[in-house]
Amino acid sequence: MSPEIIFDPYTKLYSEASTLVRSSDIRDLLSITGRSDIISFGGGLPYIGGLPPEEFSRVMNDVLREGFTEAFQYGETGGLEMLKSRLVEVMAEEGLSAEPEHILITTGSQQALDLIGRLFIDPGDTIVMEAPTYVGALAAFCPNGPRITTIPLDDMGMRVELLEEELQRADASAPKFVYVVPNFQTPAGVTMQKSRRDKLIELAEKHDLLIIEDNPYGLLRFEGKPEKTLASRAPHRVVYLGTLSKTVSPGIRVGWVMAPAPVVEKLAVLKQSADLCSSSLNQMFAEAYLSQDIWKKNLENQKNIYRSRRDTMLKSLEKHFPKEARWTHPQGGLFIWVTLPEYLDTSKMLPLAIEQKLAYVPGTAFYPDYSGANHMRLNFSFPPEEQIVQGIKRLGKVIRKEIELYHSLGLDHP
Amino acid sequence: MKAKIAVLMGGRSLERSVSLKSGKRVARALVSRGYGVTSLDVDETLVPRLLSDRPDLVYIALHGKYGEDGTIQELLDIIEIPYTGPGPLPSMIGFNKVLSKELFRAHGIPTPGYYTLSSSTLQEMGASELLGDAWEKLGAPLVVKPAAQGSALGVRIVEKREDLPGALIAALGYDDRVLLEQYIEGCEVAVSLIGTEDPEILPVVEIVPGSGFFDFESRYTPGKTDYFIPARLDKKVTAEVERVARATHELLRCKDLSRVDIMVGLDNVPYVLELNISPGMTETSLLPLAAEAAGMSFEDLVERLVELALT
Repeated sequence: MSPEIIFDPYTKLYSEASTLVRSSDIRDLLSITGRSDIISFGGGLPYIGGLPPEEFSRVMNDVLREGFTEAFQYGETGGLEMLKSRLVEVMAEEGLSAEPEHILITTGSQQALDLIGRLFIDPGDTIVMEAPTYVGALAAFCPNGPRITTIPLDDMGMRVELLEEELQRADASAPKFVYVVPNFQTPAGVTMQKSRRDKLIELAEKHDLLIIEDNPYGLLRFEGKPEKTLASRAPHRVVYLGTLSKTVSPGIRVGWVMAPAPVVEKLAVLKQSADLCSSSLNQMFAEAYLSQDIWKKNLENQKNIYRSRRDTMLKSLEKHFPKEARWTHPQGGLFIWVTLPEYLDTSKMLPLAIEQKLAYVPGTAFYPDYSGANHMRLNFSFPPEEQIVQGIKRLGKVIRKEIELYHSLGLDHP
Repeated sequence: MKAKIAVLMGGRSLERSVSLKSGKRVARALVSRGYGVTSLDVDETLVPRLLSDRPDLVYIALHGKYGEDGTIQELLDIIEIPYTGPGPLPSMIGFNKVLSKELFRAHGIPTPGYYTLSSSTLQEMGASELLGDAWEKLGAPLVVKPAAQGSALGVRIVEKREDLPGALIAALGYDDRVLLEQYIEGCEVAVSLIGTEDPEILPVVEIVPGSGFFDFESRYTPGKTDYFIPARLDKKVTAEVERVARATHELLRCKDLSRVDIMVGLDNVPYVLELNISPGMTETSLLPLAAEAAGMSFEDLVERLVELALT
């Protein structure tokens, strides 16, 4: 056995909440994906190589020259006013009209999730999430001790009719909120269709629900007609999260929350204790960058790269994955979600993939109860196309071998 | 002028992250003792680097495959650069649980009873038919583990017969040969030995996993694992544990260093589980903890291993 264990003499001092943090041996295995010889479908990384360094340096130099004093000083907790106005314009791109007063700038939208967890969840409170759901949201909410009700999704997004059933159950306690990623969901890549959005809003009105709408990928649509955001339909029912991580850069850590005024105020108080304010320098960079039309041109360019990579991945999956496998066909975003035969466990298969120098994220990471073992999330935005072809081919082989092994142990039928 | 040392760490093993921690810490200790230190994350540039740098010594802070299985040791023998710890043969044997257990058995070193299965016997010879038999003979619960894997990765304790195939699948993720091993109830200890002939035996460390089993889960769940130095065993049992650990170290002809992991059964017999030739060197690893209990600082320990390797 001889593991390299972690003896921690401070264990007795840690809070109850800290023990609720989701831990994972997968994280350790995936630490290998940082190596250049590994083809990684694992992370959710945008492709920074597609961005023009000269333009970024020029914008940054302007900020340093013209805004030195402000850039290196503390800023308002709520965020830079000028940036808020820019973000209003960004949201308008998705047909969402907003007031700067309803915006709180956060250090990535991950901070917004953390603040939301702290603002709304008491231990034992019910919250509703999609299954599968964003792993970072699980990480942010879990330390507050919620009881998580999951609603499965299909190709049309969250199966809202099941949410309705859940809400009608006599013994169900009213959820504090419903967390959804309606556009090109992570990990599943699916988009919530109009009828489902209508129904969700209707349920929210009827049952007095708050919706957390997390929309990191909305502007990364490759094809098809965008659906209206939930926030634009029922602003008083929705706390909306935006981020520049996927449209500009994750390295600048600029995200935001748009919410009804009282909620924004409460979140700002919590944010103050978390970090006083987000980086002034980064906010000024974001503001300057968004003030120029290049951001749209660059985004268009990124989208073209991602679209082509998605197509390559879909084609490779078709060619190399076993016939029992199914996968989603995302119209945007960063991920494809693969469903393998029920009996397969992708976390047990991960070391075999790593041995073949590739990585993915096993489905269990995206379920609060660590179910979903027969799924895997594949990222197509980061690896170049020749790696996608190679990697999917190798992964197909690993899966076939694993299926044979299950067969020889008589585990391939229920 | 103190020796020029290359510390090898990281690499492509599944224990990469632990190895990076071990390696960085070792490198810092060597720098503080005035050695010239280069840290190398093992990749395809390794051999050219070593050939052009020609360090006086390589410190192996690698864990798992390639670092602990004799691969790197063999390579260093070929290019004639001395290194810390045992040579290729003990490494190969120590890393392969089937080989080492057979050797233990042949030389009267107690080790839990076991069967071994490979993915090819399962797939091409219908070996799944014998699982019931193995289950009967070894008795429940039993431990399923990859034959060659440096840590608790892929290890499962199986209490119910129907969970056995799933555990095999998990273990086969790490190696295409697996062990079904008898589960020994008792007290788990680790014994670190420094030196080759007449090695110094460091205080015995007792490991108490909160989950009842020392697995990957308890590694990652805070507050689950505790330890005692020296182990809470009576004098006679401790002496027996030390005797067996030493016999194991000498049987595999381990040069300079090893850590022997032992399960002391309720019958007070020390059953050897395995031997490690490149034990962890992180702040919470067993070997440095044992050394500290023997009054040796981390820097002392590292320098001692270096001096042994250089003589």
